[in-house]
Amino acid sequence: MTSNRSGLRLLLLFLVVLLAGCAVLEEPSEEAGAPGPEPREEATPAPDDEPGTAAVERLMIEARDASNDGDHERAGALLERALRIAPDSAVLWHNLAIVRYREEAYDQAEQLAQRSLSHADGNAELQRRNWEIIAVSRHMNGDADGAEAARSRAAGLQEAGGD
Amino acid sequence: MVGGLWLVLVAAGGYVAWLDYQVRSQFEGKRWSVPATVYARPLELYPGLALSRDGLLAELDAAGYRPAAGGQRPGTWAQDGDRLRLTTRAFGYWDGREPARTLALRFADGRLQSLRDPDSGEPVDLARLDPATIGAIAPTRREDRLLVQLDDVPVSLIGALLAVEDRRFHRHFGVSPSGIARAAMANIRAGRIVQGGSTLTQQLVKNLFLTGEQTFTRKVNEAIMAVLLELRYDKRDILETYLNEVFIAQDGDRSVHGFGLAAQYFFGEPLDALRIDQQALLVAMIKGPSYYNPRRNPERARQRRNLVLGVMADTGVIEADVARTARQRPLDVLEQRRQPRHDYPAFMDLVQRHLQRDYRREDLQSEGLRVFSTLAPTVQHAAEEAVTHRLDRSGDALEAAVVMLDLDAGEVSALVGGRDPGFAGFNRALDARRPIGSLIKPAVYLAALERPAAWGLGSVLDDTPLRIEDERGNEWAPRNFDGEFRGDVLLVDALAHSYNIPAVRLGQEIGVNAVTSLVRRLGQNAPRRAYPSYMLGTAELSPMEVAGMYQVFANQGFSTPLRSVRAVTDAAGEPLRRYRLSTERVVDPEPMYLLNHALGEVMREGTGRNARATLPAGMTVAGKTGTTNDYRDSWFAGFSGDTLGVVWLGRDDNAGIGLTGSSGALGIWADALSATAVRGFQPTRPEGVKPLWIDQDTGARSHQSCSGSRELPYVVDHAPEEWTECGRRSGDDNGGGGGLLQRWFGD
Repeated sequence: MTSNRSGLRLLLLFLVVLLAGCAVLEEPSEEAGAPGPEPREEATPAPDDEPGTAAVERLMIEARDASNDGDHERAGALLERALRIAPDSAVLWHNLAIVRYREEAYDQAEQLAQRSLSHADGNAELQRRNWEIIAVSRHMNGDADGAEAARSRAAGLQEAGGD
Repeated sequence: MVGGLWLVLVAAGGYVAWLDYQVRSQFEGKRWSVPATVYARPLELYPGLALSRDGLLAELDAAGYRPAAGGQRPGTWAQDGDRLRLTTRAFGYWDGREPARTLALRFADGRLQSLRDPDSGEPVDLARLDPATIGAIAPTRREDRLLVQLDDVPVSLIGALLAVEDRRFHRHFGVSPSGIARAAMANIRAGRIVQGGSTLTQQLVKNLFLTGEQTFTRKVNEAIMAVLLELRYDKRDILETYLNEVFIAQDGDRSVHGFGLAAQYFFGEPLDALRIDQQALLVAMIKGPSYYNPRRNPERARQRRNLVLGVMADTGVIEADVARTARQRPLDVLEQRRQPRHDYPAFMDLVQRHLQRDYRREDLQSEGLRVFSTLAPTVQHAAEEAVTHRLDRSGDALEAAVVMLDLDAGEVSALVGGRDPGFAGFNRALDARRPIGSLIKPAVYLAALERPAAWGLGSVLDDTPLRIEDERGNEWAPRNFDGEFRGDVLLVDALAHSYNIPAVRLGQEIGVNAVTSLVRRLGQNAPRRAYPSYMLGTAELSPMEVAGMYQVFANQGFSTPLRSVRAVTDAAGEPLRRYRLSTERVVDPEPMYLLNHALGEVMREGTGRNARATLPAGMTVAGKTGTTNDYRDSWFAGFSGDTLGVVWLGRDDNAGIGLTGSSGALGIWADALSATAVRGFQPTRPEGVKPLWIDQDTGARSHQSCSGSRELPYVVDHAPEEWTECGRRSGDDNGGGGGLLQRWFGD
């Protein structure tokens, strides 16, 4: 069945993204008191049969490759292209937040993660990752209290929605 | 004597050095002013895309595609059974070059059902249609050209050019005495001028550096400079420059230079796609662009083309039988204006203002920049169509402006600046700042809903006569549009029906400053000191500014700076600048959701309900009407899930037009949105908001089973404290969801 095949494809994609993401992740800060969990990797889209799923996947993979090569401008442009196809995709907003984070554009990283949250209902794992981006972005902007608040939101989601 | 000779030699040497300097500085520096080219957004094709066959054909037309058997040549399409076959043109985007590719498309139910490579049969995930050219940023009288590189020019065309204009090009040193003799002989043999005596280099020098006057001095200068050019540069450089410089046609106030643009202008094709006969025709025209213009003088042009074909065969550029076949072909030039050159003056104005933040005007006019704009040709056409259709029967003085946005991207997809969309006059979409009337009210109500402890959609507002002091200390008594007073009305209904008195009272209670500070958060200017009449829309905004304000509502509390340009590259396609998507939450999700519910009520039950008849069935939308005193301005601003539209109608002299927002602007908005919107507006309900049943007269808590009850969203923890008797009774063992609600909202 198509849905099984697309499920398998998404699982494979997830593994690819996970490995690639981990391998090149930049550490946000060397200093003591660096925030706990950091944005680890781009998330993968939820399996669905929305129009343009394959197009969005392709653009996401290209964006990930560009970002891992350090070409964040191109990665951002590719994710914007994908967002024009799937504007409600929490995953795309999340990945764009990660790209901005990697460029050290922390304000936009937080705002884009907020935007991702507004589409991430019922996806506790993605919500948690967004709160982590918000926490580290605030930390990098010197907002310790805000970072702490975001971190505890992330931690709460870990307990509640781990599985 | 000797001294005199020296003097002459030094003077001559100085003169030549000066000419050499002229040659070098102009040839090496900017050889031409090339206007910036502005492109529409490229259409992204993918399976499942909401796009009808007709919609695609409109996009293809805007991008200058033509029907042609097979659809195999770049820039053509063809019907292929129940499929459409098309071949895109290779195109350099900001993010890289995409090659030409042939695609097979099948449509069903208003969607692109499948997208395949017709040769392999493999599905294609994603393809970009090369974008329409929507304009150039150039001085009014201008030379226009589409630069080509020598390697992209067909060998046969170069062969034809040299055979006709300069056979000894590769052997001479700039001037060619024997070429002049040969040309004279050929002309005598033919009994008329078939060859010119000047070399290509001399022609180029004449065009680049000298004026057109026929004097002896000029001839001498031309010869010296031609030699200097040959000394300094190689033949390939000179030939390539010639191919781009040569004047081929006049198109109104635009002169068409170079073979690249000529190919587009006469045949709608890139140069390397031209047939032999078409190449010959372009070469034929050089001798007399006006005299041999194939549109005005087709017979003359045909004869000269055939002469060129003969020369090509004689000199071995092509075989004799190829020439024979080519001579039989019709001229095949496009009708004038068949060219995809729709004008978008209002949008182009916006693009120029956008770019002038980062570029000097001279650079925009001369550096050949490539500007990737956000214009969506189909949306633009829908907006123009809506304006011209509805304004057709109205008086001439009635003017209009429309702004359309692609919401999530924050991109301006269409702009209409007046009732004649092709007329480049006063750009009302950007420059007409007019009182916005009731379009301000959502800001008033949102400022209240941001205080959920005090205000909810079911709060009861007082719609009874009101007298207050205005800014000059005079007594002011706001009135409702219909002159009625309704006593108690629910907040949601007061907004949906646009009652004035409750809005002024509410503004008084929350304070004018709360409203103005919210307006500033929505990205607009607001007076430091505002008066109660501010609640009824004395603020003056342009349609574009209204769009900036309403996109925050449509994007559920996120503000996205509006863009008309995605990226700019230099003439060679190197990325220069990208304008990024950015976003910022400026309104919390809960009050935003409540306000949007009320803006949805405007369309379901309120002043916007007439749009339903026009909109596709089931398309949920939200919006607000606006009308100003004496019917001077008719406004509507509203959105679906993907598209926002703002429409203004009024007169430049500010006289009344006899239309309300509902009877005027709403109709244009509904037409434009019906043709473009795909997704309905279905905001995600934030976790902090739940639906509740309340009594529609008193706003007290009630129950689904009670008469007069109505469901409204409320912020959790801020449900009405009062209960109706029926609601209290039924709420105890609530079957209609009230039991669950009680746990969330119970006191």
